[in-house]
Amino acid sequence: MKRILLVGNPNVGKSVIFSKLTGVNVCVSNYPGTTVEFCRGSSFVGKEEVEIIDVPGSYSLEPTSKAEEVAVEMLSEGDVIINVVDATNLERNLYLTTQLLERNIPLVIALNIWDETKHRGIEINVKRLSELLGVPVVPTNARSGYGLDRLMRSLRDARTPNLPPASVDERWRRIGEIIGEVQRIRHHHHTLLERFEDASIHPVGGYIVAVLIIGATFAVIRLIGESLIAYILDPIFNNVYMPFLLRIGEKLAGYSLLHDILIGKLVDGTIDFKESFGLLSTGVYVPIGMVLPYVIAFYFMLGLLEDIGYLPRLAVLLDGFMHRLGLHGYSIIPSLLGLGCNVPALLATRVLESKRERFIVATLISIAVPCAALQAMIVGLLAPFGMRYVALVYSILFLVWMGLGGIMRLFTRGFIPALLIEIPPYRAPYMKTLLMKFKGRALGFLSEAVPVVIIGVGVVNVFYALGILDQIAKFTSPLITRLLGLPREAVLAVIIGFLRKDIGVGMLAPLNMTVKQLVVGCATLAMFFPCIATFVVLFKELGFIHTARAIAIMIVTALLVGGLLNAVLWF
Amino acid sequence: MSVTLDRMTKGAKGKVVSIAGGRGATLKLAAQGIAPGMLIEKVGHLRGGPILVKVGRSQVAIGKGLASKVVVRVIPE
Ligand SMILES: Nc1nc2c(ncn2[C@@H]2O[C@H](COP(=O)(O)OP(=O)(O)O)[C@@H](O)[C@H]2O)c(=O)[nH]1
Repeated sequence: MKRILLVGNPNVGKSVIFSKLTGVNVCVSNYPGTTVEFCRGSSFVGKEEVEIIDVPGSYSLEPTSKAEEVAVEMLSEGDVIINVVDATNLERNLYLTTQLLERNIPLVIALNIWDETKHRGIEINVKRLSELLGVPVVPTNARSGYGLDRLMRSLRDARTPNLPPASVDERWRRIGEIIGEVQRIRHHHHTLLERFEDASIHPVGGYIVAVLIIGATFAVIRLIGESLIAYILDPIFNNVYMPFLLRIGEKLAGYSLLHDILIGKLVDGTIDFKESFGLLSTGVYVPIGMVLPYVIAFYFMLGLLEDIGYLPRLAVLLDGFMHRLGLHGYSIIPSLLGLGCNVPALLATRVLESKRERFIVATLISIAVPCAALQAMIVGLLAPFGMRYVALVYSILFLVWMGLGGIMRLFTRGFIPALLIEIPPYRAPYMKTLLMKFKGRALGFLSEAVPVVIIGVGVVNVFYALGILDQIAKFTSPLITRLLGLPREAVLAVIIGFLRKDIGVGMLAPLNMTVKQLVVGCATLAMFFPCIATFVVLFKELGFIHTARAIAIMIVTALLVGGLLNAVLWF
Repeated sequence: MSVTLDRMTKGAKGKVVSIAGGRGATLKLAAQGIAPGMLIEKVGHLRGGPILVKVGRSQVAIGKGLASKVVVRVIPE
């Protein structure tokens, strides 16, 4: 089967073209040996079936990142290239094109986002462009599908002009000549959108816009999450799953050990999904009934901001601030992801260039960025006493994030890689590709996190049944009671926090603690040991020595900050 | 008059003369259109942080350190 590669800069509409051509709607696969994601699907040219691959977006064939390395490697495996080019930004896009033309693979060009050239005042002489480059050029609008048939038909005429390899300056000179000949730009009035583009990166206005956007985003996430729980998940769990579990419980009546492990303890004669702590009750309810809705809401909103083109602006705005933590602006993106689930956040640190930066970001995420599950628990526990206590815990975590970053910057060696990113124009999101990315991420959460939670609950139940937990509790209780001022029973919560932070925090609920104890407990547990899924990924990403370091930092920070809070909080 | 990009005044236009950096920096900048001979316009400067530049029709943000390696000949108004 012939293999067609979609190649282009980031953000030119490759994913939209890919989904239109193939009809594939979930497509996260990893390039062997890396975590660089790409999509693969099939389509027809006439009667012939062809394979289509969406190569990771790339600015040049002299790779400067892992994703670009993969892109270059994939080129040698293709038969034909469709070079997707942003017609509203032809000049910059042609840099990659000239490099592709120096290679020995037949090529056609899709002049995409053609629909926007008109109101941006751009005129392009397509015929002349095609003559100058020596390959077919087809104007397309991926969103409406315009030109895609012609694009596929033009594949027959794909050419290899075999340009001689050129230097950087020569390439840009050639592009300058081509642009001068084929493109004319009429002056046009700035649209409202273009004004907003400028405002959202303005040295003052940008920060105001950022606060508004982030505030609105979290409000919507809460709204979506709460609605999913109230109208869909809780009814299912209460009306369908509960009777089912109760029936299983009856069958297990004679086998109390098995009953304890699978169903857990009954509260007031029935199953309490949050407190029973059985494999099938709490083990299933927490990841699916409590966490999943927020993860869904979070990924959806994040995907939206990504697709619109807001995230690079946020990275640029925060660059100066992030330098104080030894990081550059781009590392805000994995950190934000961590507010959904730490696991994908840690995986996302791979886009960062330096090892030092990855270490700092990963450590900070696993200590001070609470995932959706943890946040749900913290809010659930503290909100009844007043939102100011919730705000207090968030502030503590934020201060720890900042302070620890500042300290780690001083004590780790290395430089901060320079920021260099394109600020794309805002575009209306395209639902189909948005949903495609979203599905990939949500499925990733289900397949990575859920099994670990269930195993975690299972292990704890077995330990508990064997009395191992009591032993550990006896051993560590002085630390918990004296230093942190928590009741002895909280030890169990800390230990279970090793497996699932959120469940650990949840276990503080039945202990009848004071508000102060709850604040100390929530904050300390949030910082303590990551949940087991995060731990495994941390280990895979950082290796043994750095993980050990991260864990040491974590334990010291959690005890220090927890002890300090216990000493200074006055209520 | 030649200045480095970080010292350029906001709103000024100029032609890139040279990149005083290593191969990696040069290639990365080149892929974004910041290469000798290219016309650029400095559109903004965020406090303590990156410099915003317009190249052709695209906008690029460049960290301060990297911007100090880009030498530009300013075109007088
Ligand atoms: N107006 C317009 N927008 C497009 C077109 N193709 C893609 N887009 C939008 O451009 C943005 C980037 O598209 P995407 O496919 O994610 O880019 P990729 O990074 O190249 O895969 C999205 O917001 C799309 O909706 C097009 O032909 N016209």
